[in-house]
Amino acid sequence: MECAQIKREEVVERYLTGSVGPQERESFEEHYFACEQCFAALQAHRALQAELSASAPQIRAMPAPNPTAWRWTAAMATAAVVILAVLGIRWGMKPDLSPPAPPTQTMQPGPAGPSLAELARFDPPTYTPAVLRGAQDEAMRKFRAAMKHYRQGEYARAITGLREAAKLNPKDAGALFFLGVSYLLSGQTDDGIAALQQSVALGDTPYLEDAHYYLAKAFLHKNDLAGAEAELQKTVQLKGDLESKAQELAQAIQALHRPSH
Amino acid sequence: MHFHPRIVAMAVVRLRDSEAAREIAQEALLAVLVALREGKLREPEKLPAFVSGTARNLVNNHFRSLREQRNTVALDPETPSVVNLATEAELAEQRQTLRGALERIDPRDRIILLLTLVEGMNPREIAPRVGLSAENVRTRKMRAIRQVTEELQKLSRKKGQTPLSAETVS
Repeated sequence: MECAQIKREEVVERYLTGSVGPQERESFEEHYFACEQCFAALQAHRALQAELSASAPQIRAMPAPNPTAWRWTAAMATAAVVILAVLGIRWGMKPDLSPPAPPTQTMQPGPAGPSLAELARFDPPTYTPAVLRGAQDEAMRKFRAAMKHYRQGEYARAITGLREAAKLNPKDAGALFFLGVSYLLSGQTDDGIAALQQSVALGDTPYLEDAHYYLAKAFLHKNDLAGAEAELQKTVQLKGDLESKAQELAQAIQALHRPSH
Repeated sequence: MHFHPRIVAMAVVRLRDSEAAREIAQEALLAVLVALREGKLREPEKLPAFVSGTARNLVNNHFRSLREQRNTVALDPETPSVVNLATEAELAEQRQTLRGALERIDPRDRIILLLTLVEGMNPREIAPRVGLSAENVRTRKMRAIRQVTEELQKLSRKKGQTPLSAETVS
């Protein structure tokens, strides 16, 4: 393998994402063990990959560059220009013809209340590793390794490990819970909801209350107020540590229902 | 030629476990040293291939031992490593450089980089998500990677080293 081929065939990226075959991988490894330039490129890509992984939630949180949305935006902008032009002509002829519009019922909060997006936000739930002195099975080992990434804010990496842990032990409510939360923090809300619901389905586990609470947050993110309220009700019924937080959140959602004037 | 960071890189990419990678790197270097002392390497120019082969064997052995460890005592992944290859300050400087470089590129290019390097998607898969052609995605991706890695390599040149990576002090 040669430097030019590595560059041309984007071997570094494919190597890092596990998209190379065993022979190509071996060949590239032998190459970078002897080539300063390609090893520097690999290290730079790895550092970039780690940073992107750590910043994934912020990057995903930015408005999605959706082509359909852009087309609609352009079309709406054109339409707005036309409408304004027409209205401009009318207003030009009748300057006093614009009575204030009646207040409409909206889901927006009053000036003092938090918005739906603010209510949906949350800090990553803390994970404190337990001191385990006995034998650990592979699922537990994977879980703990994944949670190291979680604690460093590397949610994409945490997801990979937690998925493996949950696959090895489908009754591990903790792995499913933190998998769900990691998905939510990576902007993959539907996957997050599915994992949290699996954690809930395991019944009375130490993660039941938390799973209901973060499901409420996920539903808020999807503008599903009824779904969020149902999950908060279940959180309150468990009368655990999150009871008062869940009540406060439910009240804030109720305030969103009230029309603003 | 510094083999240690290369072995760590190879093991991390394959194992996704920085602590195991560092252990393998130590073990591989020791094995290479013993082999050299015993005169097992007759052609010095083949040293890089010899080291990468030794490291690869150890990574494969590690995989096998993981499969066998299912019912035995596993290593505690929380055990802190004593091998720190770079200081926290150096890593922080690198992160700052990367963050700054990422902030300066187009938001769409940041998403392209994320989908490429974290999600492992190819330009054809990314194209419909960002509203560009696959060719355009490829061009933008290459340009963005070049912009970001150039800043990183500038920092590395200033310090006279190859870029650090995420696991060096973790």
